[in-house]
Amino acid sequence: MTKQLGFLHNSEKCVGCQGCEMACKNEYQTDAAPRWRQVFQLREEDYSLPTRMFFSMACNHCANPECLRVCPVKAYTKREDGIVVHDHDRCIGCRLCLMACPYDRPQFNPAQKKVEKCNLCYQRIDKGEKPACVAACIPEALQLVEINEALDQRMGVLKTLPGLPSPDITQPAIRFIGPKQGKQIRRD
Amino acid sequence: MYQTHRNICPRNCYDTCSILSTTRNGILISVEGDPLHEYTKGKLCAKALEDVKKVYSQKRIRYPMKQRGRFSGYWERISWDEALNLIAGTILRLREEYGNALPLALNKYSGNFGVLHNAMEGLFSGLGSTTRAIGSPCWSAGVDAQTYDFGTFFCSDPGDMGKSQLIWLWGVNPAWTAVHQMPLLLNAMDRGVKVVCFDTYFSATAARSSHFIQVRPGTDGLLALGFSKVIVEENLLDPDLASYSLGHEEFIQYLRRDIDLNHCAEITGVPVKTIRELAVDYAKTHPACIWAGFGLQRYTNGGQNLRAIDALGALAGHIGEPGGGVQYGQFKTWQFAGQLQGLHPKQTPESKGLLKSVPQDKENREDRLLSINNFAEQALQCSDPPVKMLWISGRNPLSQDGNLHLWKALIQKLDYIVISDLFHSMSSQAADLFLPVTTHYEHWDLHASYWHYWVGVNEPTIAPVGESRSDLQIAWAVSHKLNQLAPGSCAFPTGGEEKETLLKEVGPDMLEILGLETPEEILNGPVRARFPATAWENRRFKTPSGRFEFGSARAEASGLPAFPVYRPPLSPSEEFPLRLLTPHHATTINSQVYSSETEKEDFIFHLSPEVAERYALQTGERVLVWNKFGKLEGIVQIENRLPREAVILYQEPVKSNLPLNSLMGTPNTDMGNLSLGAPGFALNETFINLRKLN
Amino acid sequence: MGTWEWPLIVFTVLSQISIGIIVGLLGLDCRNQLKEKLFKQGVVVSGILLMIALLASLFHLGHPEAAYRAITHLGSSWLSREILFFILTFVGWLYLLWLSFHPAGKLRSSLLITSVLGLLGIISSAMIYVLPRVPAWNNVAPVFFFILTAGLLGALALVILGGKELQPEQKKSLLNWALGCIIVSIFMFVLYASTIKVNAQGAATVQFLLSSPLFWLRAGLGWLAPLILLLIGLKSQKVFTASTLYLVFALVGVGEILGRALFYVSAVGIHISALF
Repeated sequence: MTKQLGFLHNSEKCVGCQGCEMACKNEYQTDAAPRWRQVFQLREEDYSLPTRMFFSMACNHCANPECLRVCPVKAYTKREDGIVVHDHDRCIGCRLCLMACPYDRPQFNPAQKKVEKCNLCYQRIDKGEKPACVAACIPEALQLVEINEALDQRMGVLKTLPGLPSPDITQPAIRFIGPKQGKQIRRD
Repeated sequence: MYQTHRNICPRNCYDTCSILSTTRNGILISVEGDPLHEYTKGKLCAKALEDVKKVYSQKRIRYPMKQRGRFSGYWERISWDEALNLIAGTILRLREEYGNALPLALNKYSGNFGVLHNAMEGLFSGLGSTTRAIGSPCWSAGVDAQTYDFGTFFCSDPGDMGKSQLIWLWGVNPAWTAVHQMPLLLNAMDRGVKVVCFDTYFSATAARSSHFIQVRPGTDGLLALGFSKVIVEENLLDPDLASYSLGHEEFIQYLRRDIDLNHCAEITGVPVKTIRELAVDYAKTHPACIWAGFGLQRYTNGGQNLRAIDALGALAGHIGEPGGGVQYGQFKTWQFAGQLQGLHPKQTPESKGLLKSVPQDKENREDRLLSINNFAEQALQCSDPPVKMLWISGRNPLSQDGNLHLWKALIQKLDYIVISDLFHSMSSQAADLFLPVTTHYEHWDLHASYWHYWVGVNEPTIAPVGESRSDLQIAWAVSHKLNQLAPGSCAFPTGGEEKETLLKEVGPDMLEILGLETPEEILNGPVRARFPATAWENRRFKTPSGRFEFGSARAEASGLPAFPVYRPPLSPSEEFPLRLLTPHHATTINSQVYSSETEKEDFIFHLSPEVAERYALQTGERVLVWNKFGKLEGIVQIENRLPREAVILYQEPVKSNLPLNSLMGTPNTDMGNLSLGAPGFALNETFINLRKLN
Repeated sequence: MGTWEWPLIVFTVLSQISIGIIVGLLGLDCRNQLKEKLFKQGVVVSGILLMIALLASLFHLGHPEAAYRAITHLGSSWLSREILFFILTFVGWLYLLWLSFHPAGKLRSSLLITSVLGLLGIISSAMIYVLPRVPAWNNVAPVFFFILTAGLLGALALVILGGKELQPEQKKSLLNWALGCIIVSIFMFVLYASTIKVNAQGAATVQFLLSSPLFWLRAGLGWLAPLILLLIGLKSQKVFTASTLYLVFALVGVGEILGRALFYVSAVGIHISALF
């Protein structure tokens, strides 16, 4: 593998609008139930002040993809650029990857009885375009990045956020910029 | 075969996004933002991105349908010809019976803001003098407030906010309702610009602002007057005030005499120290911008709230300042020709601007105008002649109006109810006839925004789904049928080309503001009106005096105080001690639901810990919420950032056969008559009681 | 929390009994030459169970018609390896079946090979669940649990199948073996619960189990009751009546099925614990 593509999510800018989720659905016209990408609200108890902070997560295209390891049919492959691609045609719907992924990102499609997930819009990337979610993010909170040493050394770039599984399990290709709290003059 | 078309999202929303839609073999497969549009910058919100599913939804009504008995749910498919015969027959019968067309009523609003949808008004104008719903449930008090102060209703280009050194977001939640403004705000904060968010609750925008100031509901005007008082006390007034304003001295006197900061702090809930700091910061920072939302004027004192904020902006010298101003909205880019709805060519551009949705052409016609917010009540009172037939278009009044029991009474009295819509709604349950309409991917249309300056054309992308027709096609067909049955019975055209009709709406006024030579040029893509980016930049106002009017004779003539003053909002009673606030949610526009996945099983009542303690409630418990208008059941959710005297119920999609407006009366705002012909809906003046259910 | 994985419960428990029977036959054969009838009965029953098990496993798949592909990722997928070993076990069984009709000398080595393949199959089954994402499973416990099920139910099944064919000595040693399995199971469970408790998800699993009536039913019926019956029976040196043996088998069977169901249901994975 020559590089590892991944996402950088900025919780300071994310407004939780779910535009990324819907852009993904618009691009692939997926059924309502499988959510390749999902916006999560951070828990209030994890921050000192009441928050309304979010992060957005799809497949993390992990360096150690558990889905790929456990899949009995080789439906998962990892490309040279680090993208973990799920081959929908090969999938037999054993759902073992659902058990193995700490982020619940492979999603079972009950209608097709197969698993599906984010393939990082590799076909768009191969054409030099951004993934649909990144292209659609109005506040530019979601970016496509190369995960490397330089990124991890950037100020404010975090490997995980409170409420997320330890990145040690699968080494997900996602980084975060954590939320910042403004000053609040509240009546309570 | 892939093809791309230009569309515009037609919803009642600040952003009015330009869309590029893609089809494969004539089937719509995806939508994306149009990069030519400099405000929405090629990006769409989550709601619009659901459009493909919406267009082809199984729930969409594809054929004309007749209901066997109102509220029965027994709908049977009929042909268009039968539907048109039913409509035309009813119209002709009623007109003959009563000798005029006043028994025929149209209730239409913002389901689709496209200009060609004014065909419905045109059809009714073609029938003679009819009964119409006028005014707006949304923004009337604020529109009047700005009209009194500035002379008309206009705001800067939203991009102008990028020049601000200080931004006050006052009762506006762009993270949920105008998401394309968020990048500008976030980038401003990155540059060190302070963004202060005033709201009654901790909104998603408040969470991202530099400062959040929690204001007691309905007291925004008093807070603005408090800030003004500090500016006076600290001698931070704009030194040029005298040159462009009227009545500032009297206003300052009022502030000195009647506004007490301690009282202001006590009522608004904002500490005196904070009021002082913020006021000084606002007066000393140039440019500084205020963006006032719609919620703060949905009170019985709503107009005063906004007039006080306008006055604050003026005192500090921010009006007409690039990157400054008090922004609320605008209708100046809506100068369509108005031929379609039957406007008289002599009418002024101002009235053509659709501010009054039913401009009167007194030479031929005088319609009976009923306030859209009190429609059922006023329609019930009509006796000479009574209202007998109602056409509901682009509206869902049985979900969105107050005093719903009056609607039930009105329905009993009506001979015939027609609804044209995409989906069944709470209102269609009451209809006798359902006409399926096209989405904006299936017809031509023309759109402007009430926030940004862009105007553009909507092209049909796909053939109409099922037998759906556009409002314009329906209007033509009804007129055709009427004239077939009784020649000369309707003056509205009986047919035509949508595209030609559209081009006719791009009249000389529109060509001028858009800087176009011919109407056809607008087909090339969205165009920005050529207004200067800053509203009132030369400080020449449209008021009778030509100045910014702290004191407005027009207000006084309407029986309102000449100056912005504090008028308290309604107070809760012992019986109904809690205020109900119903802010917009990111997933809906009023009753228009987008993301089907987010539909909630239950109403969720958000309470502050204080309210929860008072009623001994825990998160997750079921409660009954009621007042004299109705009752709703739901689940409690306790949150730390809510007002102490209110319950918040977002306008989220809920699986319920009762709308949240079951709890609403129809309190009116203090203003709205001047520009819109009727006062607004003071829906934040709703009070409730609640108790735990076991 | 996991779900009720019926196809997997049936598949794992039945395949484990099936292989337990083969291993038991090998054990008996090592002591005394197996009687032909017992061998035939054991092989046939074992094979039927294995076939039902494999059939049941297909119901877990979204696309059973493409199950053949499941063998294509032997490099890292324990599920692929499991399928391979079970197929090989089945081939071994076919040879055993042939032998049971055409007695020949290579019986013991054939039993040995089939047993080894079967045990590798069971270990692969268990290794599928050794997932870092599920702390309750991410240890040796699944392997022990699965092998213990095979030992326990395999031995009891053989006692019943053997009937009069079995010498009292053989019967007794099989019952002793079953008793040992029960004791080890209880001991393993205590060890399991106390080791997985150290992290949040494991603690949730333990808490779920201890507060579940089904778990106590499983412990009472599947461990305690047979333990007492076996202890009393073995101590008194009396011959077990057939009905007692059926009762013990039924109790243990219900216990193991419940235990396996709880294995799936009680699994708590590491999740994103944010609101959404």
